[in-house]
Amino acid sequence: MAQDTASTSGASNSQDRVLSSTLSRQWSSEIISAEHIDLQATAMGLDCSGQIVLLGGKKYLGLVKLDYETPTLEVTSKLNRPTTKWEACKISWNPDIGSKEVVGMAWNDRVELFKVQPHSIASMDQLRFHSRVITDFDWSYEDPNVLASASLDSLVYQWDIREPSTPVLTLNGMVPITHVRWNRHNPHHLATTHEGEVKIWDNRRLDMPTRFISMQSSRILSLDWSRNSAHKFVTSGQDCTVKCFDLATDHKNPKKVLKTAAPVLRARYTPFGEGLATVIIPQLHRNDNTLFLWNSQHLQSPVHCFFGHKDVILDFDWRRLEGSDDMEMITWSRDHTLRLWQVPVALQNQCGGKGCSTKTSVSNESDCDEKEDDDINNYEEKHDNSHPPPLEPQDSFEELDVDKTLTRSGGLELLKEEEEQQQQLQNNLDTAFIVPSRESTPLRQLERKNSSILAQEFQSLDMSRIKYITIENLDWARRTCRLSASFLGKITFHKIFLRITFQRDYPLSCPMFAIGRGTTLDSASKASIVDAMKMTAGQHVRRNLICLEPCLLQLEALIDQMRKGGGGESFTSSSDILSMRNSLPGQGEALKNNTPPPNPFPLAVDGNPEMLEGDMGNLPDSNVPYPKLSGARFCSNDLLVCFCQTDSVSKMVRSSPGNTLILTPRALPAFETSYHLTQQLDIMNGMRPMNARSGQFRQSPSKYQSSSSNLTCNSSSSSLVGLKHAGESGSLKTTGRFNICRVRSGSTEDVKGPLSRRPSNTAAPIKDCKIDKGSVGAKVAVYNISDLMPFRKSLAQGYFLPHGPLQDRKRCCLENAKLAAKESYVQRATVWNICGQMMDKIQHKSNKNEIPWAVHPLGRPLLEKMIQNLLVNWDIQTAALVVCFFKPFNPPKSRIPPAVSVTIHQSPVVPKPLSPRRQASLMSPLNEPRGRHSRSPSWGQRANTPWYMRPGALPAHSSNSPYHTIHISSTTTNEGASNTGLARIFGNTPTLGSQSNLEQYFSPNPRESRSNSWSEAKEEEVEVPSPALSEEVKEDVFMEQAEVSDILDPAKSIYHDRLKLGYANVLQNWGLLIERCALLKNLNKMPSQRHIGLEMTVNCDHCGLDSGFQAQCSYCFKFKMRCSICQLFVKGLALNCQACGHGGHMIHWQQWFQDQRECPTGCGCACSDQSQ
Amino acid sequence: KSLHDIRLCNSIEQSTFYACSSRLYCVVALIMVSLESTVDTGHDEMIHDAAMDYYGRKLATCSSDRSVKIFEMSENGVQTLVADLKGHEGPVWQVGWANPKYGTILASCSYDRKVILWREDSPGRWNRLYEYTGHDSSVNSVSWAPHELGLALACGSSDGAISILTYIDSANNWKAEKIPNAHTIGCNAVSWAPYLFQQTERRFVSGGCDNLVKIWKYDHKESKWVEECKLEAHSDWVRDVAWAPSLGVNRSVIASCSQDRRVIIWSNDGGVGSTSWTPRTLNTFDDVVWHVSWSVSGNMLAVSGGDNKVTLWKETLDSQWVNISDVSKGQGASQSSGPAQTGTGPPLPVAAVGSS
Repeated sequence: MAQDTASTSGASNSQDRVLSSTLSRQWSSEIISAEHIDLQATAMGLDCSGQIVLLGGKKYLGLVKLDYETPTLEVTSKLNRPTTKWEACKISWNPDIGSKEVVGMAWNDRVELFKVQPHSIASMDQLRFHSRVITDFDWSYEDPNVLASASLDSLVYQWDIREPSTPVLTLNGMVPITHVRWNRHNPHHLATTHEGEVKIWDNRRLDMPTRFISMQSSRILSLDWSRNSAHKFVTSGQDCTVKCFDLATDHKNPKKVLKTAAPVLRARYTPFGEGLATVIIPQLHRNDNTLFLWNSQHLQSPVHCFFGHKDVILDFDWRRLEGSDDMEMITWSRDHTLRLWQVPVALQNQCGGKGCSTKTSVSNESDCDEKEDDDINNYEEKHDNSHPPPLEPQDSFEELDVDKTLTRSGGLELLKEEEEQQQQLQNNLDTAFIVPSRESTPLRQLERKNSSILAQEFQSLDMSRIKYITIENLDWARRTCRLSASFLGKITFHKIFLRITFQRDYPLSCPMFAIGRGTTLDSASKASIVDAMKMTAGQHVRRNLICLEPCLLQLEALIDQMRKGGGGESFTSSSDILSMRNSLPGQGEALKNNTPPPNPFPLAVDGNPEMLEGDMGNLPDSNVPYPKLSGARFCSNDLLVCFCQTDSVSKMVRSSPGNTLILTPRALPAFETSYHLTQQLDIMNGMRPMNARSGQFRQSPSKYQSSSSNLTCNSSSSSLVGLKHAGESGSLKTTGRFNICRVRSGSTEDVKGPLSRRPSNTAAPIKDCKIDKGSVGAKVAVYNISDLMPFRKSLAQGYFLPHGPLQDRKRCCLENAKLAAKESYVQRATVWNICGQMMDKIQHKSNKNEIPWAVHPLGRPLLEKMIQNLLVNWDIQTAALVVCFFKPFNPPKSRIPPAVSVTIHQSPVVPKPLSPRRQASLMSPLNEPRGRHSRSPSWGQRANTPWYMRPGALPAHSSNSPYHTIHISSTTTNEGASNTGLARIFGNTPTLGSQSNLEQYFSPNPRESRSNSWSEAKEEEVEVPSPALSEEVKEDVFMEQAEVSDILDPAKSIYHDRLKLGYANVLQNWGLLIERCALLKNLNKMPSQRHIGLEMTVNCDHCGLDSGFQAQCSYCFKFKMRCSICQLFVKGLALNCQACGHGGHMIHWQQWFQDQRECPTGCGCACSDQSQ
Repeated sequence: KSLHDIRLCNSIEQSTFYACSSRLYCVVALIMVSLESTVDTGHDEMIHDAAMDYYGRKLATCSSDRSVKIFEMSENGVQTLVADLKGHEGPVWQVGWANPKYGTILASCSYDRKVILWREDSPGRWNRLYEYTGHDSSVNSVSWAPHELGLALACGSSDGAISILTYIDSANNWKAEKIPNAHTIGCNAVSWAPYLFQQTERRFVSGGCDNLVKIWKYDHKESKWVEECKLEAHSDWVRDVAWAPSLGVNRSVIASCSQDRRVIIWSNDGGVGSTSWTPRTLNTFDDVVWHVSWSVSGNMLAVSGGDNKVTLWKETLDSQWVNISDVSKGQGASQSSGPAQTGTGPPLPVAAVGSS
C-alpha cells in the first residue's frame, strides 16, 4: 500500500518536474536577491498584502517595498532604533487586511508595535509586562487587535493592542515558553511549546492546557498550525524530525514523521496545498542552506529545493501574485540577503495544491509502450510500471518507535488517503484530456529533453565493472536497451535476456523490465530478478537519478550470487538480495547509488534517505572524504601516536550478530548527518541570534543542562551495551577509555538486535546518538615503540666510530661487539666480532702477494652478504656503521697527476689476463683462509687465468654504475698498512715503475689527512676547481683498480653513502648530533650542496679589512684575533659571542663559562644566555 | 597492567652472518610496547589527525572544532597545552610538521579550503606564516617534502587538484604550482617520496576518488609536474597513500589504503625511474581503511580505519606481512589470516591486547 502511494505520486508529480533542470532533485534559484548588510537584521516580516517587508535589527528597521510587477528589494525607508543591545527577535504583521499597517516586533521583554506606511515607520506602543525575554508572539487570526506573547518567564499574555498597558489574559505555562501560535481556524485555541512538549490551550480555560503532547524530551524548534485544518499542526525538533500531528485522530503521537539529516529550524505549512517548507540547521558551517519544500502527504522526498542562501534562512514568507496563481516566496537569511523566489502553480500542485491539472504519465506511458514495443510479444513478462515494486521502503512513520497500534491505524489512514489521491489523480487526468493544448508544448519539450538524457546515459555507461552482461542493443530513439548475460551456474549454463524499456519521462519514472525468451532460469528467479531491478530502478528514479548503470550492477550481483549459490534457484527472499548486494566487495558505486535498506549507515536510513543519498551526487561535499576518526601515525623515531573516537553507531552495528557487511560511508555528507549533534546544539544556540545574544539560554542554563543530563541518564544502560561491544571487538584502541558513547534511550534493544538485517526501511529507531561532550575531544595516546624498531638508541650512543677517540679500527669493532653483547644483542655482537677479525686481517696483512680483498672469499663477498643480511633485517644501524668501518681510508680524490693516471690506464687489470709474471706472483703461497676449500681445486687447476680475474668472477654490477667516485686506499694513513690491494698490484705490475714513485704519488695531501670536519672537506672541494670531464675519466681508471683492492665495492659507494645518511637521519632524530657528525665524516662523497647559513669572516683588528679565514691578516700580516681572557693571539680554534663579538681561545672561554654567565670583558653581555 | 599496554611480537634479530648457510635463524621475542603518555586534548569535537614533531617533543592535534592544538610533551609524560591555533573556518583534517631545520612550522589543511602554515616565532607564540587559499574545495591532505629538497608542501584537495607550495626566499614568498585535475572527483592524500642521496628527481604519490594512485614527478625540462605512473588496483576511493621511508635502502615502496577495505603495498624494485610497480594486497579489513603510516625504518605499517582499530604490520624475512598487534582471542584468528599465515615464514606468535 505504501508502495503504491509512492509510485503513483511519483507518476502524478512527474509532469511537474519538467521544471527540473538537472537530472537529480529539482531546485531553483531566486529571481531577485539583495544584500542589506547595514541593517544587521535578525528578523523579517512580510505584510499580509505581500507588498512590504520589514527587516529588524539591533540598530535599524528597514522597509523594503515589493511591487508586484517589478519588485526591487531596495530599502525604501529606514528607522534608527534607540540604542539597545537587544536584537529583534521576531517581526510579525497583523494578518488582518483591515489593520495591515500594524506590525509588531519583539525584543527583550516587550513587543513594540509600529505603524508602517509604505514610506514611513512610526512606533505606536510597547506591550511590556513580561519579566524576561520574549521568545515569540503571534497575532490572532480572528481579532486584529489581539496578540499573544510568550516569554521565558513561562507566561503567555494575551494582549489587546488598544490597551497596551496590561495584558488581558494570562496563561501560566509553568516552564519557559519558546513558541506561541494561534490556531488558524479556531480563534480560542493556541499552542505553546516548552522545550520538549507542546501544550494546546483554550483561552477560555486559563488554568491548564487542554492538550499536552510530549516530544520525548527533544527540544522543539518550531511549530506551525495547518492552514487547512484546525486539528493539524507540525513541529520540528532537535532530534532531526518533523512531526505532523492530527489532533482529530490522535493527540499523543504524530501522524507522520519526517526524519531529516539535520535538525529543522523552521517547518511551516505553505499557503497552498498540503505543502511543508523546512529550513534545516546546516552543519559544519556548510552551505546547506537550502529551503526544502515537501508535500506533507508524501514525505519520501522533497518536492523542491530553493537553493542559494549562503547562511541560515532566518525567516520566510509567501505572497500570492495579483491576478495569477503563481506565488512568490521571500526569504531572509543570516547572510544578510533578501531573496525572492518563484513558486509556480506547477510546484504548488506538487504540494497537493488543486490549481492546475496535470496529465499523468501513466496513460501516456502505456500509450507509447503499445506503439513502440512492436516486438513485445517476444517477451514473456511485461511488468507494468503501475505495478508496485515488491520491496518499496515503507512509509516513514513506520520506522519510528510509535506504538504498534498506532502504526496500524496510521496504515489504514494512509490507505484511505491514497484512495483519495488516486481519485484526485483521476480527476486531474480527466481535466488533462479536456484541456490538452495547455500541456502539449511542455510535454514535447520534456520528451525531447529526456531523449537526450537517455542518449547521454547510454553514452556514459561505464561497463568496466560489468563482467557477465553484454549489451546487445542500446536504442535511445526507441528508448530500449537489450541485454544478455550468460554464466555458469552451479549445475548448468544459464542465459538471461533482459529488455529494459524507458518511458518518455524516464528519469522521472521507473523503466520497465522484461525477461526475454530463451532465458534459462526458473520462473521464481526471473521474477526475483525483475523485482530486484525494479526496486533498484525505483530507488533511483524516485530521487531523479538515472538508473541503468545501477541496474546493471544489480544484475551483475544477482548473477554472481547465482553462480555461487545454485544457479536458477530462486532467491529466498528479497532481503537476501539486498544483503548480498551489500556484501559485494568493491561495489562502492552500487552501494552509494542504491540506497537499499539496510543502509551502510543506519542513521542515514532511518533519517531521510532521500536527503542523504540523493544528495550524494549533487552536494559539493559528496567528494569530500569521510573524516578520519581514528588513526595511528609513526612519528619521530620511535613513537606511535594513536587517536580514535568511537563512532558508536557503526560500532554497535558491527557488533550485531550476523556477518552482514556494513561499511563506513566514504563521503562527508553522511558523516555530518550523524555525528554532529553536539555541534548542532552549539549552532542551535548561535543560530538564533537574538536568543543567544540576549543571553536567553544563559539565563536559564539549568534548563538546558537538565535536558541534556536527562538524556545521559536515560542512556546509561545503553552506553554500557555499547561499551561492552566495543570491548568485544577489542582492538588496540577500543578499550573503553577512549570512547564513551551515549545512546539515547529507546534504542537499547536495537543495539542488541540485528540492526543491519532489518528488512526495508524499518531500521532501528535510533533517534540520535549523542557523543558525550566530555569524551568527544578524545584522547591521543603516544606509544613508545622503540623496542620494535631495528635500531637502538643505547647502541647508537655507545658505538665507536672510525676517526673517533679510539683510532684502532679493530679495537673499535671489538668494543662495539662488547657493547652489543652487554646489551644482549647477541647477533649484533657476532657481526662486530667478525668485523673485528676482518679488520685485523686487513690492517696486519703484510704479505703483498695475498689475494686482494675484493675477491677474497672472506673479504668482499662475506662483507656484502653480511650487509645485505643486516638490511634484510632492517638493521640499518649496524649496516651503516659496518660500511663506515670498511670504507677506504682517506680517498685521495682528484689529486692524481695525469701522467701517472695514463700509465695506469695502459695496464687495465680487469678483465684482461695479466702478464705471466703477475700471475706467478699471485699464485705464490697464500694465507689460505677458512671456508675457501671449495674454491681451491679450480684455483690450482686453471693456472693461466686466476678465477678472480676472469670476467664474471667479480660482482657484475660494478663499473657501469652511473655513480663513480674515487676510492683508492692510500698507503700512508694513520691506521698504518690499511691499504691492501692496489699498491700491491701496482707493485707487481711492470709498467708501473717503482714502489717509491707510487707512494709519493699516493701520499695524501696533508690537508686531507687532517681533514676532520665537514667544512674543511668542502673548502677543499672549492679550492680545487678541476674540470669535471677529465676528472671522470680519471675516476674510471681508478675505479677499475680500486674494485679489486677495496673490500667494499666502490661502485656501490653511493649506495653506502645513502645508508650512512639514512642512519644519520635516525641519529639526528634522537638528538645524537655528535654521533651524527662523526658518522657523516665517513661519507665517501660529501653532499654537493654547500653549507647554507652563516659564514663567518673575521675582519682584521688592525687594518679592518676582511681577509678571509686565516689567523693572520693577509694585508698587514698581523694576527687578527686576540683572546679576551689571556690577551694572546688566537691562531686556531676560537670561540666568540655573536651578541657582543668578544671571543678567544676555546679552552679559556670554556673554562670561563663553566661558572660565569657574562662576558669576561665586562661589556655586560650575558653571552651564555644568548647562546640558548 | 595498564589498559593501554599492547604486547607486540617482534622478530628482533635474525641471522645475518652465516653467509654460506641458507638456513635462517629466527628469534622471536615478546616485547611490550609501552604507553608513553595519553593526552587529553580537550577538543570539543572529534580529532582527525595527530602528529608529533621531528624530535617527538611537540604534539599537534586537529579537530572538527576548527582548531589545532599544540602540546609540549615533557620527559616524564606530562603534557602541557602550549597553543590553540584558531584560524580555520571548518574542520581541520590534517596537520604536518616541517623539518626543524626550517624552524618550528606546522601545516594544517581544512574543510574551509585553506592551508595554513603556522610558525612558532618565539616559544609559545604562534603566528600564521602563510595562508594558501588556492583550492576550491576541502583540502584533505598536506605533506612536507623531504627536507633535503627544501621547504615544500604538497596539498591534495577535493577539487581534484594538487598544489605544491615551495618556499622561495626569506621574504616569505611562496610559489604555488598547481596540478589541476590530478584526480577526477577529488584528491584524498599525498605523500612525498623519500630523498635519496644524489638523486635529483622529486616525486610524490597521490590517491584520489578516481580509485587511482598516481605518481608525480617534477620534469625539470618543462619545469612542471607530470604524471609518471598510474597505479590501478583499488576498486573504490583511495583514502590514504604513504611512501615508505627508505633510510638509504634503494627500494621504493608505497602503501595505499582505500574504501574498498584493502591496503595495497606497491613495490618497485627497479632502479631509479622505473615505473613497474607490483601491487600486493596486505590485507582486506573489516571496514574501510583510512590511514596508513610507515615507521621510520620502513618495515612497519600502522593501519587504521573505519572500525576504529589500529593494527601494526611488519614485513618478515621472506617479505610476508604479519600483523604484530593483534586483537583479542576470538577475532585474532580471523584477523591474522592475511597473507602472513599462509606464507612459509616461521609462525609468529600473536599476543593479545590487554583489554580487560
